[in-house]
Amino acid sequence: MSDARQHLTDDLTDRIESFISSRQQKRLCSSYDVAHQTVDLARRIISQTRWSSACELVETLRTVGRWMSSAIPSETAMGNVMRRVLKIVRDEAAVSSDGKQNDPDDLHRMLTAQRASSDDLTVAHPNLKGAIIESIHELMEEIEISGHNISIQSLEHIHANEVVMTCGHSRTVEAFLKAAARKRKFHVIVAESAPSYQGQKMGKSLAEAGIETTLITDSAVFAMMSRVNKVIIGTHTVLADGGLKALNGAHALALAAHHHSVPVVVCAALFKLSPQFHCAYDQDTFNKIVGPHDVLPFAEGGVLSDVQVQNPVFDYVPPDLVTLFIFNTGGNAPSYVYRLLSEFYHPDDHDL
Amino acid sequence: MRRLVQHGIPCSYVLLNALSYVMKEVSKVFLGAHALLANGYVMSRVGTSLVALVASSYNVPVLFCCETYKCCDRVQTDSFVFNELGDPEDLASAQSNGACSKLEGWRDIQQLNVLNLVYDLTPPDFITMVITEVGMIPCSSVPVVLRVIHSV
Repeated sequence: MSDARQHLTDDLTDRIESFISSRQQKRLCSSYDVAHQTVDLARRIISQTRWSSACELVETLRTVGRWMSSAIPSETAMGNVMRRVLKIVRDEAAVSSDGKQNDPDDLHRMLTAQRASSDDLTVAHPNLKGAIIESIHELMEEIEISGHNISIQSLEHIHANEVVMTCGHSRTVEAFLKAAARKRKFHVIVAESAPSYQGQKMGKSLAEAGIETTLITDSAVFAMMSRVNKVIIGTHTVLADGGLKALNGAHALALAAHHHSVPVVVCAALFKLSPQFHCAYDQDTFNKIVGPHDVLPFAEGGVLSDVQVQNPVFDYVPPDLVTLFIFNTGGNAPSYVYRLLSEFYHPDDHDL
Repeated sequence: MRRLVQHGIPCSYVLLNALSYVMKEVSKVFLGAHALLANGYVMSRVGTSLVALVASSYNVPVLFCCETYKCCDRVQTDSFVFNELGDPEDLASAQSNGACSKLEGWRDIQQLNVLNLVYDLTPPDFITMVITEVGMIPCSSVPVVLRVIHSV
């Protein structure tokens, strides 16, 4: 691993280190920014390091991906984007060595199990670098317009006079609802999401855009659910089984929706799709615990020494509670997520 | 929580958002009630139904502690038809760390309504048992209790 790092120039190493430390210091940063910067970094690595074959490049990218993911394990967007880049590199190498389009869906190829072309990454090709850079640019564009691509689907899902419930502040869902509000009149109920109170920010922003909004406490979610037609939430990560790693409180919201048979729609960009599984009820393994002063402020005094206070950030929502995913490439059921994984990530890269 | 700590019971304190996180370590849930309705629903402080919902999804027994004078013969199926509205300023002023509220000036925004419900209704499918001073009863036995009390 260390000799792959030696291929990186000093400038690149500095950039990676400053990227990692800026993510570690800021507590709240959007996945979009992380994904965008990771693609930018990958593009610089591809253009500035010296590599003679796709195999070396793959090794370098994997090393960097592993370095970044192990520095900040809870930020999955970095790893996901790195895996997309690696798939692009592998595909382009296969195309160059094959001479014709290597269609992974080609039935004949699947039946005869021809994998010789995709395994041969050690051969050097002259035009490979240019082709890869072009595909990376397309990936960058796709990430940049992912929010827009999700919000243009909103009119198909929200009809007039509907009551929509959401929680927390997701920029994707905000854009989704605002796009629908231009043509339809509907009502939104927002749960305030203590202790960050991001839901209050979302409610205010939606109301200022002209949408009828009601702000409720998190405790009233079950009480209000009998009035709701749809639940639309965003998420931090979409896991490989179709489950979600969403902000805390999402599991309770999804359970309440399930009880009232209300569909749960999740809006997420593709860079949030992660090939990792997480054990459902062992929330300790993937959760991030932050400071307890938001739950019980230090001003409470002496009782603090006798009480344990916990403030988890994430929640696991199992795939059977989610009705629909709206990705920037279109809508999908949770059972289809495995297919998207095989389309966008190479199986060798699932473990960076 | 303070009273429990004073009695020497080790306590953990979490917000409702962390319910799914702590529920796997919970073996029983004890809740209080404001009223027991005749159709088996329990009216209690807002948020109780959420706790009962998450507990029942993790198969944790939910026990309500309630005196029999709180049994009433009203029937109700959802939390809207009869409820109380609390002060909306409670939401607007709630802010962690003394930071300024995100909802400053919310009254000026016409489309924004702030709703602070006081009570909510827990359906009987989430309730394992109700503990009263006459014994432990299932929540569907409330009309029986009422009949016994009225006949005495």
